Amino acid sequence: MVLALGASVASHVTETLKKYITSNYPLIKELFVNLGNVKTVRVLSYYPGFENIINRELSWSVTSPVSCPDATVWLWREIGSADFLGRVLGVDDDKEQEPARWVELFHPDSEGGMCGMASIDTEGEWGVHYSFNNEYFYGLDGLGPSDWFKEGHFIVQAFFRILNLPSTSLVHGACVGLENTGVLMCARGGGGKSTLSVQAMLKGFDYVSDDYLILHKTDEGLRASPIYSFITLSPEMYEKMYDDLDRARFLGVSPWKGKYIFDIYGYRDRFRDHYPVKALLFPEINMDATSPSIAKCSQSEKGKTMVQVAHSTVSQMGFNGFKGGQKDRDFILKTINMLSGLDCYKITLCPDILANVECLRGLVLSL
Amino acid sequence: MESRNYQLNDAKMFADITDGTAIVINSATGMYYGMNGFGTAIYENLQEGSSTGDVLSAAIQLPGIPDGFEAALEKFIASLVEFEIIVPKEETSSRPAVIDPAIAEESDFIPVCTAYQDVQELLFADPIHDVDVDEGWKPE
Repeated sequence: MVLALGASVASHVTETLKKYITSNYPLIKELFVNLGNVKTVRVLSYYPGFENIINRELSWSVTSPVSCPDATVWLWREIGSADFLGRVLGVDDDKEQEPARWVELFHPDSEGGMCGMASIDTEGEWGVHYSFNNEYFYGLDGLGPSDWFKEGHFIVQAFFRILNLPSTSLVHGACVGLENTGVLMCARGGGGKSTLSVQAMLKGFDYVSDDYLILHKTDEGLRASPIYSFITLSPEMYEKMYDDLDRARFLGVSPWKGKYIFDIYGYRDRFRDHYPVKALLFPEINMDATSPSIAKCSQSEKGKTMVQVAHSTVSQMGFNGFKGGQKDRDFILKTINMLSGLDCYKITLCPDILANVECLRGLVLSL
Repeated sequence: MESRNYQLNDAKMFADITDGTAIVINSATGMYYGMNGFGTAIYENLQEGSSTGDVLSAAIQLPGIPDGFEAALEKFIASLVEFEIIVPKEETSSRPAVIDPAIAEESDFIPVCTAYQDVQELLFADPIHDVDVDEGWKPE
């Protein structure tokens, strides 16, 4: 069911949700997050158990309270959200025998066109998601601490929208560098960018991110900033990096692919804000390769890299998830414009992760 | 159907294939396109040097391929040209096309390239229920 909302109704939903949350749940944690010195977001957690995890995953970005944040994210534990629409918002779908369970609340003038969804069934779990203007609501249930890192994508989605500005984007990618020369690694999950960037950081590289980062287009060129201070590693890669991971703290096992999650705030001296990005890097794993290699990408390979950045970002966080939408198209176009002036290299990774890092070092120092 | 060779319009289009799905982005407009499995297989063969004639020859050997597939192929190629995803190649080449019968069957033997439209257009295809605070939330 799709309900088209006027602005007054959308505001009414927002106020109803605020009143509902504050009347029914105690506030457990309020924190402020500085997104690349561009936006400050207030996160209000009413979900018991998440306060420490939120702090740990965002510790790099946590900042002092501000009186007028640019946006607010509301998190609460919504038990039995299947009937949320009727119980809280009073939505009744005459056309279905059962109470309305799925609805898209659509407001044409809201950021992204779609202002929210409520009581959706995502992979068997009920949840309430709603956003309008600068208020983002996530009512979730039944999540253990490790689930948060999967469900934390909801916050990434909020950040993506908050940061969708003419010269700024949140993108799915990794970035490391040396001597103020960064490379942006673009690949879908499993491409090796996380392992390479974390191993590079452990071997002395400057570090921005292994997964999500903020890109700024400035007069001086492209800059990248971190958001998160946690990483995920496969158990196999953890074993390989064990001796160097002495400042990382284990947080849990991700329900997604069973990866280990670490807080790496202990390496904050390696983190860099507004780091110059000088090249695109497209990693590919070749388990049969005896050594890594680097080659400049052809036009079609560069195009493939662009598609990977756009597709992996939009399909996870986009306004309509790569299913159509002007906002998604605008984002794609903006991202392409940001990245198209960069040289693009393909790095073929071998099973020797130290050799991969040294190969990357050679490239970065040559840029 | 005249046999021709085509290539990606890489002056304008960025393309990638993931999990058996071709995704194409128009770098000038941000418009994006997705192909179903059969469409992706055909597109891949064209990129690797097969002509449309090679594709047709391979496709009509597939078990279960419906009569009149040539028209479906022609329509698919025309859509790729119309979307400016591919452009004709001046030089011609021939290469036996390879198509997985299971992938073709999963796509009901119909190659499709979808141009993703505005979300508003998608919504207009479905009933939209106006609601009002005073009148309540019941859809029409």
